[in-house]
Amino acid sequence: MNAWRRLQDEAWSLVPCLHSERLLASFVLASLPAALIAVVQAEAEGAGQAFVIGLLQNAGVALLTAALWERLFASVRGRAPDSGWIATAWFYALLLPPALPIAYVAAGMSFGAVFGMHVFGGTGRYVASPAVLGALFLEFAYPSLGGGALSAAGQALWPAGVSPQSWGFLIACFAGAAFLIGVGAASWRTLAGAVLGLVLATSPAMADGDLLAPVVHAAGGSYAICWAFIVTDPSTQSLSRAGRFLHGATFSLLVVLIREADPRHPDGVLTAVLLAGLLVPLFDAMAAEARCRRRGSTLELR
Amino acid sequence: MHFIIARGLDLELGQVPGTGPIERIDADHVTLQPADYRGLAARPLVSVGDDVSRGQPVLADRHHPEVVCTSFVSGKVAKIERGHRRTLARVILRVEGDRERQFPQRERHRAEALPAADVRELLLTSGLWTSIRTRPFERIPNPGSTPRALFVTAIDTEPLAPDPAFVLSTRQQDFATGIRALSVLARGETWVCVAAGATIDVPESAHIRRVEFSGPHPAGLPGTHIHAAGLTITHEPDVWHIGYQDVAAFGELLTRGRLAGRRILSLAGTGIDRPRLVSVTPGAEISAFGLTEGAQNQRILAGPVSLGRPAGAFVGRFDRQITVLSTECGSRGARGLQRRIVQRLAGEDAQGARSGGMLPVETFERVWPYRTPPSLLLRALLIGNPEDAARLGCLGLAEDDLALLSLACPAGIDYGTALRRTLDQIEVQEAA
Repeated sequence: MNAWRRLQDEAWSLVPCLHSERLLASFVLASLPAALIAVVQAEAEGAGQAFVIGLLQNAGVALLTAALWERLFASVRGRAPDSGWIATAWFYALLLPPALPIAYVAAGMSFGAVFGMHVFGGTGRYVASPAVLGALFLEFAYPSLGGGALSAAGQALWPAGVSPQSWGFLIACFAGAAFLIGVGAASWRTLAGAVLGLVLATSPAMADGDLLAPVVHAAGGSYAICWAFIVTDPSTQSLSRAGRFLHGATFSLLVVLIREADPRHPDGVLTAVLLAGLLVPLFDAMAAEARCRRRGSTLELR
Repeated sequence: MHFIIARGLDLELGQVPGTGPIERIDADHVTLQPADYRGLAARPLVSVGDDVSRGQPVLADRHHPEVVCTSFVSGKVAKIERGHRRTLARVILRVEGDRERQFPQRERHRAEALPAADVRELLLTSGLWTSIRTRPFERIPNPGSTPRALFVTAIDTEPLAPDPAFVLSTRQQDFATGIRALSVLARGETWVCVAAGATIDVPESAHIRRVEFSGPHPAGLPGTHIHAAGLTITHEPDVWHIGYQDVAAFGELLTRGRLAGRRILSLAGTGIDRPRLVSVTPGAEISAFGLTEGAQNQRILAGPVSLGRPAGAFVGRFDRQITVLSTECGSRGARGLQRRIVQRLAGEDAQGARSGGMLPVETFERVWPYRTPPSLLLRALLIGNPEDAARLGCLGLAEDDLALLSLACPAGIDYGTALRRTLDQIEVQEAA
């Protein structure tokens, strides 16, 4: 335990996590290896240049749009600029298929920024990730865009199986998550809950002999990226320890459920993030209720 | 009994003033400020130009005129400052002469067997009643109320705080007398909370318990002690606590008939060459310390360091330390969370106006000694939901209990203010 604390202290020295800006910047930082692997993957398929340009274009438009709304809301409310807009725009861009028409990217980002973030009061107050909300908006509003045909950062859809490249992408996301846990930005409970949920949900398939079923689900679509960087968003975290496990597990269960039950939504990850996020206040209320029933209204030392 | 606090954080802010000689500091001006005494609706009993002797009442409570604050010095009233809506802000006394009010002297064994009514009476007339504070609400107790338990805090885990064992080493007898006399007030037990292995003599009896605490910082806070004792906190402010120096002062008052006018503070921090203990009057002006005020790269904090309160013009009534932090070497040697917090305290890591909501990171759990998830409580405090906050345990807490959480908060939210707002709401609802 002490060694773990020391390790965490070292990590804390690297990234100053007592600033909400830098805390959220560490999410962007942690996702860079995954983005790089996606580029390598596209290069292997012979579409590297187009992919990079597409991703940069998406990211540029998303950042501009988010910055615009950011300035607008900050000036109207007379507040300091919100700290989360860069991370939001970056993950929104990662969740989109590359090279969408600019207008659509801007429309989705606007929806996500306004209705996902600013109407709630900004970072730390929203209930579902604005990046996911923006991407979901595009998927529902413009089904012809093929939001379901190609998903996050060019990852193949479930159930495409596991290729060597998608192992690379998985490992990059895993490393990012480990980094976030180390610097105290993400909760290991949420992440572990999601892994447990995934194993649980795919246990029927595993019992049938398909031992790779959880990995196939994890490698498909935007699961890995959402697991590591979106579900762990500090603003949408559950407030209780049990709630964090439940949040993660619900996310994974929903992903598998949507994928297996509705072939028209072969990704389902974004919907799962949204639904799991909406359940978090319920988990918190349950945890508070359980706590009061067990211990009354007086605090108890560990 | 021994409690080990598992979670918390000890900040390293430079050399701790150990057992060196105690420097005596004489201030020209001393103040009494109602803001130090929560729950006191203060009314001045003196006017400008009046002579005041040590032990003479200067402020009284409007609703309970028997609750008074007495002067710690002999002098003349120099100024009476009014604040917002003409409320009394402070009474400033110029120190002169050596007049003091005499209280009855008693032999030690008599003093220790004083009936509860007499103890109460003496506490009220001497002004030491205002050194007691209640949980919930952290305010001065009503003169008519009886505590369910009394906690004597003789441990201090704030960074750079004076060591109670050393401060009390020359006043062991007064301290023991004070505890014996005060213990008759409580219906239940009197808990004397000390650090593990501290050389503080506690006169243990059926009603007086010595409890040892060890572990990182919140181990020394009255809130931690009260919760460790396993008392149920209700809406009734009937758990009282008092600091060790005030207990010793009460013992001195009983046996020698004089009100002790000085307290031992620590003067330390990375911005001070020679960290030391000082003996000073509560409410003395900060300029008497000879700190180069306003010097560059320095930040002067008064009171508990973890609260990070910038020092005003005067030492507060309950302050146990003055900390001078240098913004240049505030974080040398330290690392990780520790380093970040030290930087924040030293103002090195200052952020502008922040507007974000709470980000419930797991760092909170690392510095929070209780089982209840801290974020649940903090969210209830922030959204101003007194029912939920009370259900989650806010009644047993005061600002200092949440200080580490505020320091570890990425969004830089001051949870102490939110707690106070919620407690005020609960108090108003109770009164209605």
